[in-house]
Amino acid sequence: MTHAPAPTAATTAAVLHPPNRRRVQLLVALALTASAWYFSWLLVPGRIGNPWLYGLLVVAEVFNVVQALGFWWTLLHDRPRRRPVPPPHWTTVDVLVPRYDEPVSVVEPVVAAATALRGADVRVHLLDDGDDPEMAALAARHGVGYVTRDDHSGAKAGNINHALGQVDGELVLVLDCDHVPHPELLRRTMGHLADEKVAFVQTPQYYANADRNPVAAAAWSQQALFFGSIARGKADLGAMFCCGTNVLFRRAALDDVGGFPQDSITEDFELSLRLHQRGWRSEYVAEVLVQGLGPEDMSAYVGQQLRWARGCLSALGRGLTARLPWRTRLQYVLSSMYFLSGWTVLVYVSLPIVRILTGEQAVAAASADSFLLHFAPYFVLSIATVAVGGAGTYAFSAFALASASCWIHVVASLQVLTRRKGRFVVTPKDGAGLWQPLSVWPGLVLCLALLGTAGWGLVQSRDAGMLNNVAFCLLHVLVIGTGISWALRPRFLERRASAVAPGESRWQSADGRPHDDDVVGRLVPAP
Amino acid sequence: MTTVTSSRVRSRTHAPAPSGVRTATRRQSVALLGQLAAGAGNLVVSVLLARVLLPGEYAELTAFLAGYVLLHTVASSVTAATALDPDLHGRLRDRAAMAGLAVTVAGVLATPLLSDALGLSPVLVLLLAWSAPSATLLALARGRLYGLGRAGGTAAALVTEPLVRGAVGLALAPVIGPAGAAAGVVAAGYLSLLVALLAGRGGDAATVRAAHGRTSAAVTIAFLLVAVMAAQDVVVANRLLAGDEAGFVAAVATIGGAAYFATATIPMVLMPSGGDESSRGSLAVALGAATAVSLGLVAAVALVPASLFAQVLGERYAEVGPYATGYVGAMAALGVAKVLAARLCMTGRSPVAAVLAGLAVVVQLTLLLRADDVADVVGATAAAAALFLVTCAAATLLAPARTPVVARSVPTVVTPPRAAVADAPADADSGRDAPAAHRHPRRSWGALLRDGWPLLVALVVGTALRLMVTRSIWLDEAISIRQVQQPLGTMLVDLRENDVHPPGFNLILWAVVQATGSTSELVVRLPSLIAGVALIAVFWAMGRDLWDRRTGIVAALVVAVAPVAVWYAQEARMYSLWMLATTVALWMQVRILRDARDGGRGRWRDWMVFVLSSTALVYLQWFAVLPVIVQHVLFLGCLCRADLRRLAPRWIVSVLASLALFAPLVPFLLAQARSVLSASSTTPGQTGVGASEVVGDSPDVYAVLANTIWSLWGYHADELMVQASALWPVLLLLCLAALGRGRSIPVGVLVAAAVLPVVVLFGIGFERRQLFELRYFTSTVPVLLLLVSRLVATWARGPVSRLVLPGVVVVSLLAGLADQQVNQSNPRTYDFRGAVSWVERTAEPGDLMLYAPAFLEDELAYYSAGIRAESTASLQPGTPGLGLPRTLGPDDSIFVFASFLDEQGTSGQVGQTLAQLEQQGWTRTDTHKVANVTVWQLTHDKEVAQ
Repeated sequence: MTHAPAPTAATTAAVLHPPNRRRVQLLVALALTASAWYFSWLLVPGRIGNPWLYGLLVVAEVFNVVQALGFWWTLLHDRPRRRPVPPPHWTTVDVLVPRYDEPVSVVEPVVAAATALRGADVRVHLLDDGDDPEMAALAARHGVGYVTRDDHSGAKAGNINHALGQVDGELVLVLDCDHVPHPELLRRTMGHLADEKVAFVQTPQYYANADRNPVAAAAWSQQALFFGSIARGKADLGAMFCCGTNVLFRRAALDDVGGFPQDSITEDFELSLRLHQRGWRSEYVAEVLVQGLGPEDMSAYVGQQLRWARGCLSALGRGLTARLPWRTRLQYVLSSMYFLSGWTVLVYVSLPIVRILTGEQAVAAASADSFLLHFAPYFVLSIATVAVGGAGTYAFSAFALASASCWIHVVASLQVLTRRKGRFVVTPKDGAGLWQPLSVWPGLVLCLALLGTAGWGLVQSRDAGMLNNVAFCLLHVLVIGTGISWALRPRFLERRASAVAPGESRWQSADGRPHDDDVVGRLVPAP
Repeated sequence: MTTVTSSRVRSRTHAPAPSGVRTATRRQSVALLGQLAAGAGNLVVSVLLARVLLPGEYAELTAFLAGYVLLHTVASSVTAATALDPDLHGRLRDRAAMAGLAVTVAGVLATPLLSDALGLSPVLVLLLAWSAPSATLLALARGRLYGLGRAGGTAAALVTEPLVRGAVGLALAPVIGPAGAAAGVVAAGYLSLLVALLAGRGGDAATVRAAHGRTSAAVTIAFLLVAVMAAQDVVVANRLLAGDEAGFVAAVATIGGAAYFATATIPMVLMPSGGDESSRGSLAVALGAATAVSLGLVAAVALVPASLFAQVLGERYAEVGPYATGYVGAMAALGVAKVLAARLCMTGRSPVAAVLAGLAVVVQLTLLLRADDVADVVGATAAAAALFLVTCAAATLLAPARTPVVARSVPTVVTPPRAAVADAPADADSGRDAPAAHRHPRRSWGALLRDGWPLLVALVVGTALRLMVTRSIWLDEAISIRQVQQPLGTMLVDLRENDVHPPGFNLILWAVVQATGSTSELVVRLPSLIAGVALIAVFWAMGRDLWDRRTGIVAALVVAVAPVAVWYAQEARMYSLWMLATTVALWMQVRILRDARDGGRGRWRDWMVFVLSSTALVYLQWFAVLPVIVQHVLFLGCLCRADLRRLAPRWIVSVLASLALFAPLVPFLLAQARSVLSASSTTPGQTGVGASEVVGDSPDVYAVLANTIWSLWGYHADELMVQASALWPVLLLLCLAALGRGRSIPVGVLVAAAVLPVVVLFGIGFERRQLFELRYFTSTVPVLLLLVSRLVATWARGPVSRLVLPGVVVVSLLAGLADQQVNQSNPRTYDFRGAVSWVERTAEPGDLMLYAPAFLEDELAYYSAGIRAESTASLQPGTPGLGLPRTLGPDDSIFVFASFLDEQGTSGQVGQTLAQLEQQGWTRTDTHKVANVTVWQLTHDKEVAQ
């Protein structure tokens, strides 16, 4: 059988390049050995210094090694996916583009590109929860359906469910209103749905504005690791979940679980869990077939992350108890638990502070030499695995952004524990370019505390022990400081944005739409 | 296919294109013969005039000649520019004449003053003044002859001078004395000018493409600086050295001047041959001629017996031979370097040549100002010449291909790209636009300076730092110095049987010491110094070649101030050369891999330099084989990839070539291995292993940390090392910072080259702890510095942080350097020089120095205190008087000279010696402590003795 060439092969190779499998396997084996070496040293009763601090350290380390083991396990399943077959028959696809308050300039390329999708009978619907006449005009201009509703309950999920009641296509494509699809999107994904058990096919959520905005770049760097190795590995394990956009559903599957759940702020995660529980399967196509916009400032990023953290953490209980194959369940649990990792950052940051202020330390009866001998291989190999597994896409900026956002996980988990209701907040698509210290104030406080403690410690003593802890403080300051710096330097964001060519970042074209090169059409003529 | 034919065909009168080696050889031979004949003729005339004139008159004539030569030397710097661009003659002729006349007028007006200042009679001053116009015009006319390729005319103009000098001078000298001889000299200049003008008739300068004015200026400056290099040593020596020493320098410079003079025409003849690929035959001929003439002169001077020097120069200069050999060697290097500088000028890189010449002049002057004796002066000139030679060679070899300054004369057929044809005007092939096609993308002097000033800064700073705050000759250096003072065969046998190093470095040092006849600190450290400075230029070029200009700048600045790079550039051992060779080898490997990635197989030149540099590594240090093996393993790994498999044939050739070059070392290696295995101690001496708290039975993490700190921030006191080691979390930051980076070929190769040898030695360290030491993985130092440079050059994005981050790194390295060099608590600093100097000042003839440990023997042979020195081990405790020399009188002192007192055996031995001496009636009267050396002065306690 002749396979169609990937229409975005160059872009995909650039941003989601698969790692060298043998290298990954070797690194995972080494990292496993190193982690066993480290924990066999750490988990010895004689190492207990201050019991409370030691306990905190062990919990943090165990949590992280569990996450690491999950990551390595997923990496080992990062295998080439089987090629999709063409859809068995001509299909009707309803393209749903939910919109809340995004401007016309953001939405119009999406609608226009959606109408150009090939390979099916495409019916585009703009689901306007903002009741904006300009959107109605836009829909009319492009000849697409315009759906609005009186009751705006259920946020995005409610909006989509309302639309589902008005459409009857065999398949449903959900696109966020800032995500512009490539004309070949359907042809590259529909084939997977030839398998009657497949409920949805997810594609990556690429941030096209990563080239002009450092926040978007760092956020994409995090996303790239997920939509690269992790998503491919999850797909292989049958545990790829829906990410809310760029996803093609089988209508029957949606109907089977009653549409999108409206009681969660991460309706996509929740929906996936329900579908998997009902025996449906999911697929993933690791090609950049849609280009969207990532958060352009820290306020937007914080809002997005808080929503994801709350949603995923609230699903943790259901993930643990779900009737799923153990591998799928474990993947859900690992994904949910990731949003607890901010607690461990707090533990690591607090240890040198406590040591400098009180002299108490977590680990006793161990020289720095001994600690390094056991810890350094574990640390270096863990970092190397991330670097190689992510094929170089995971950058320091992503790590810094995650570290600086550790407080989000704390807040989210406390909100989930106290059952405080969350609100669905649409991720802003337009960078405010303003000084936003309030959006990063916890990170700012952490940096000041670290700096103050380090200064105080240097005044007290300059022996090796003190210098070591001061160095740890400064390490945290540099990492967290990098993460919060974008909120404190709006001019830097503006300069970066103005340094690139004006116009749309999506598909690097003037109108934000992909170049219409029907490479696939030459091989697979439409009926 | 559309073609455009260049209409640019040179006139038949212009220098024909080099038609190969034969033409080049003929031209070089004719000009060289003319030059040698002129030199010999002038010598004969001088000898005859010496017989005709009275001694005082001849001295006056000699002073006149000195002024005359000075004028012509300055003026002749424009010859090279004119040779490159004969049209310059027409453009500058009037201005040169006016300038010459201006000098004449000024000279005439200042005659009374000059007469007193120069010690010349007013007539001679006037004659000197009137020779000025001929100097500038002759320089231009000769340059034009070179440019037009008229070797016969050049030779005629050269030979005219001694003929006229002889005819007129010898005719007038008996009548009017030195004025007549001087008149002959001046007349010879003008007649030589006339001959040059006549020989250059008919040259259609209008058809010759004019070089850019700034290019000509750069060429002129470059060759003027070369002339300064050849002459300033005599001037400086005359001011700084005592009369006898200065006279010695003058004698040496006179002999060396002959070598400089002999090769003067070679670069000039080469200049108009074009700088493109097809002119390589001319370059080869020029290089061959310069090398042959130079080596011939070196050999001739080396073979001249002392008696002949005494006969020619006077009895007091009988021992001038070794110095003269070294100096002629330096002039020989300068002669070859001039050819390479000419090549740079031909390819549009005259500013580079000027900068390199300027650098060499600065280095020479810096060294000269520190000179204490003739050997230092010779060493300074040799260092400058060698630096100029090496840097010119590097610039010539490593410079990317560029359109030559001198256009080819043959019709050129150019196939333009499709797009260019489509866009070309209708008459594009009519020839009207063709000259534009040949307009060369030359860069102006200003542009080059703007581009290259950071390198200049780095070189100046780096050179200065490497010449400042030097330390005493270290034990290993003293051993090398002792070894290289032996005859070559004896030294090699000594090395093979009693040492653990390959002979590469000792051979270089032997050549330097034998050539200069000196073992002064400066001379023996010259190879390391030159390698250290060259490393800066290599970093610059490598950074730019592999990444970008910014990385090149940061890398050059970083290595210029990097403490360990400075440290080993100040040590007469192989480590500085090792760093240089390993950097070049890695650079070449990355170039080869880059070329392979782009579909090539690696350029032969890169393979050749790779083989030579990696082989040189093994000749320098056995442990250097580790990075070489790593490099070949990397090649092997690449061959596993289908897209890089095309490298295989050339890689196999490189391996075979390396093995062939390595083969002569095998017997040496086997002999040393046998010696080591049969000896009780199998480990070479260690330097400052106790410099941090890393000493243990096996290497540990702190040992890795300490070596990492040493690699980047240099050697420091133990306390500081402990504190610095505590800052290891910084390394975690570096690991994190590396995320998302390092996927490029250069970084991958560099990381492997930095890490793998360390890992291997870490493993070996469990068997022999002392081998896990920075010196044995010296290759890691430049690699780490490059990686750090790359990291800080690219990590920061903002306009401020892009400056601040590299600035912080450079400042931190400077702080490390300052502490390393100045802080006497540095456990690797042993002030033997200071301690011996104190003994020398304090001791009286007849005193005795007892030293411990015994292996200080070579050290104290190098730094002699002027009194008898014996090891404390020579004392005989059971015998009366401890076996001390009977000549030791009651008023004499004993100096107990001790070092390595942190070692139990040594401190016990010293304590025992002091106790025994005190029992014998000696009393400690003074103690002198310097870094890691303590000296006790003991005098005889007469009461106890009685």
